[in-house]
Amino acid sequence: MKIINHGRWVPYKPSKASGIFPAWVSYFRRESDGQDWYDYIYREDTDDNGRRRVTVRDFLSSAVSIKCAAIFQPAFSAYIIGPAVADVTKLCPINQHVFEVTGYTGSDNPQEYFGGRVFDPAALAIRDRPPPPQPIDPEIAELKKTIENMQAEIAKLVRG
Amino acid sequence: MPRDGAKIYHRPFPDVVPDTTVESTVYNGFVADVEADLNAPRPITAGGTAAITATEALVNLGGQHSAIIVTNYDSHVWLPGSFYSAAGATGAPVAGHAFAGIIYSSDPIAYPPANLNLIVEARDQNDTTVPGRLYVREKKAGVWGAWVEQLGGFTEADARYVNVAGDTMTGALTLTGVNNISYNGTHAGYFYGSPVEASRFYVGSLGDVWHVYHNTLGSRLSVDGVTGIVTLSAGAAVPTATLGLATTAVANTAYVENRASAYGEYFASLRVAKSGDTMTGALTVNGVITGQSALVVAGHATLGNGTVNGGVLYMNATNSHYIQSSGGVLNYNGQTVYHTGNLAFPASVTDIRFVYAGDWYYTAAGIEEPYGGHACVTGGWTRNNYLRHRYCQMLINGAWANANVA
Repeated sequence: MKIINHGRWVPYKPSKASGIFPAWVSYFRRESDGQDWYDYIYREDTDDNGRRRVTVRDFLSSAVSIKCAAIFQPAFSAYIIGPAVADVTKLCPINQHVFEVTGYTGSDNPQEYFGGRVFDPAALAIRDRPPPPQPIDPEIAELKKTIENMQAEIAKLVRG
Repeated sequence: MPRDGAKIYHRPFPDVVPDTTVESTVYNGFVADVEADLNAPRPITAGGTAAITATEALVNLGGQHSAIIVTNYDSHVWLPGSFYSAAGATGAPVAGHAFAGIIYSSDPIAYPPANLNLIVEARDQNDTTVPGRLYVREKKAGVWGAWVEQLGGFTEADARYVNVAGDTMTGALTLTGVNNISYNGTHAGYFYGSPVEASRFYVGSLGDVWHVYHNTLGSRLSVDGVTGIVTLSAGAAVPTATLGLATTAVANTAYVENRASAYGEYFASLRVAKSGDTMTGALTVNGVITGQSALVVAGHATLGNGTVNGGVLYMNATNSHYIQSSGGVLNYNGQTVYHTGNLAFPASVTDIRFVYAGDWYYTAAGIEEPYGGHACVTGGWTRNNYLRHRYCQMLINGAWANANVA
């Protein structure tokens, strides 16, 4: 498997609408160079009858490559992979890394294989997700908060 | 005188008596008479020339001169015969050329000659294209005409005239005579030419009566050069027959009116021009307009132009489904578009979808929008603090766009 990192994408408001979509849809651009997402995955041309049409760019439409988006989840301090699909149009990479996996020979359901795992953009590696932190009981959380407040009051008195 | 008016010599004295002495008067008179006769021009009847010079003798004998040297063609005293002139002779057919030729005269023989009626043929000895090119000059009643150059050889003739065996003319042929063309073959003669209007054939006066020609409207036969009406026959026994646009109907007269121009213009006026036109009547299409681009209006299409509410766009065979603007409101089937029953939705939505965004692990109570608010929670309640999110996408112009936050 080979992993191609297509960068991290963030929302923005374009100065004018693209040729494909109106201005009121959600726009994203690559954080590193400002590349618009829709221009990145679509191209405009004309069909045999001379009519305008929109098609998906070849380099992202390979049937054998898997396109994934991964968002940073503080609970795991890692980029957790969300969608893992062949159809790049199903990605909406807001605040996420987009990467492409070629040479995947796993099951026919790549979502099952990649979904929820960790993507390391620096190492271009995929790892298993660590176990999630234990959920905190609301009563214990309230008690911890009370103790923290008491400690703060004591500190004031000591400085006093 | 020893000779009478008929140039007959007569003895000056009668015969003397034989065996008698001759008187001196008779002898001297006889000798003087013989002397006078011998020194006078001998008449032609006596075997002489009746002339005292060779030229005069030649004239008297009716002979022609030869090798006459001409230095001035205008003032030369011509005697019939051959002549020549060196280059530079005055009045020569071509200045600076040498000539040799023959002079003919119809004047009575006389010397000096009267020179009233002459024909001079002079051949150019210096022409570079036709050897001995011939020039002719005539003097009538004492008045000289101009030199006329004569055609020289077949090559020069071929360049000037049409061969009867067939030839190609490079210039126009103008016939000004009457009945100047006749054709006795088995086929009708024809004219053709370019550009259009170049070939035209009249029978009768120019521009009248029979008139056959070809112009931008095509071939035309116009028997009447003005109206273009061809009358086939007339008489009560022949029914009226009209071909084309008859502007003049004559009872019991069969005629053919061939008016290509009016005919073409008339039918052109009935049809819409490809290059653009204005229809003054309605357009009814009884057939089916097929094809995705069968009817394309590049500009605006106006329905009900000039009416208050605009026209109606019918959308089925019974006109029960239609779109209409009414008082500035777009109506469908007579009701506002957003009216119950007007909008029929498909069995499944194909241009809106919710695609998977991810599963977010929530660690604490509170409000979070990990996907920037662009994804919504579509799953049930959390299992182990996970919530599943999906994006809302719309199919626009053949591509999927993500719904924005509002």
